[in-house]
Amino acid sequence: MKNDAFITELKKEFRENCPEVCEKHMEKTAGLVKTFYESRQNSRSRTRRIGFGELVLRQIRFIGWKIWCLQLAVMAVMYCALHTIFGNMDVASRHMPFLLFAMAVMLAWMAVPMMGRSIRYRMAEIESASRFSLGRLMAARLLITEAGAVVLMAGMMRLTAAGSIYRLSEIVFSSLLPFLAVTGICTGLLGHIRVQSYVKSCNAAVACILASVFIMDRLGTGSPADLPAAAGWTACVFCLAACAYQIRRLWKKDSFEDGTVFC
Amino acid sequence: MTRENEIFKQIEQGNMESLDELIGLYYPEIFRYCCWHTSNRANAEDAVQETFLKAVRYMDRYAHRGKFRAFLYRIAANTCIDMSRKKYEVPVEVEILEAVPLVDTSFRAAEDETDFLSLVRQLPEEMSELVFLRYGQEMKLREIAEITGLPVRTVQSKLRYALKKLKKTAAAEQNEERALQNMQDKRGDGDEK
Repeated sequence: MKNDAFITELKKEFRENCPEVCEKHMEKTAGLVKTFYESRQNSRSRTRRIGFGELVLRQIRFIGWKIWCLQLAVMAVMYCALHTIFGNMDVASRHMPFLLFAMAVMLAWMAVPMMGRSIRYRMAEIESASRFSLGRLMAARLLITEAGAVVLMAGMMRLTAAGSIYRLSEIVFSSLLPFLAVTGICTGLLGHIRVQSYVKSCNAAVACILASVFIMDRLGTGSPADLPAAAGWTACVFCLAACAYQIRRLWKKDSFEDGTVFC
Repeated sequence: MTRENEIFKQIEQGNMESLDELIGLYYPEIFRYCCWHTSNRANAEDAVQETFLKAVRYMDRYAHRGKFRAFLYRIAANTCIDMSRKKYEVPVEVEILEAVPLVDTSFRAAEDETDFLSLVRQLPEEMSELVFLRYGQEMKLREIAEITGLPVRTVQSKLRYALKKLKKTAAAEQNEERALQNMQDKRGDGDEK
């Protein structure tokens, strides 16, 4: 059978088996839709719109305090670790950059389970209740998590600086730079890979980075603390810009559905 | 300004009659789409109603750029998938079942479904979808690409492959039928002798 004849036959089959529309049902649907639309318009005129700032404050009450408590606990452990290390100056000078690197990576990683959990439970109900896009909700939660992490980072860097062993640039390159890099990677993965694989992918990436840090420490190779100042600060600015870009991209995202529904 | 643009403008200004018009514009094709993706007419009607309600619910997310059709189809697809996952069946009273004659006018009127449509259903899901949108809903390739999120070239090549596969399967079935018919004829001749 030629192609045109086959297609004509196929179209004919579809047309002949096409179900008839029930006018009554169509009118009923139209009535329901109008009622629903009107009720939404009325409820919107009654509710007060809140800005992104207020959304962030509300999220603090909902989830922020839990994350910050966890991060405080982590800080306490880190403080004990640094205090122990500073007790032995020889160990401090050799391993400190790698330890700071690993701690910074762990701090950045702490946002991943929160984001994975939020995506996993879709947050559709919150979204429809708050009328904020999923992207803005995620951005708000990410800001809260990373704000806590930044405070911890600052505390960690302050403690290290108090030991007077390292210069500011060395501390920054060992802690802030890997923190920004891992935050950029984890945020960048969001929306680029399948939702179901997000947490596993981030965990794998962080595990590889930590393994590399451990190997570098064992081998006694150079660390980010040894980066030339220009290269180090450039890398920091680049990573900061990448993080800002990823958060902005997250802000604009409507959905984290992966692929299309027809695949 | 296209008719659809005018309708949206009217809706924004609070003209509810325009919503009627919008639904009238898309109801038949969305209903056909839901019939193809659900097990019976009642489920299809529920799906199409749910689709339009969701479209209103998510209207804020849709910035009108002439892609309302694609937006509706995505919602319809998700609704049908949700229904099939929940193994959705409309509960019907036994008395109603007995009173109403069994006339299923959906695509899946089993005994009546012709070979072509059953062959289309046997294709992989994505291809079956493309064939239905192209030849059942008579959409253009660009429209199908908007709905499915696939590039136009991909839609074109997958359709070409699907048609090839359909023709091959149809030819094989026809040969089988012919062979069966020949056997039956031979047996009939043998009996006569």
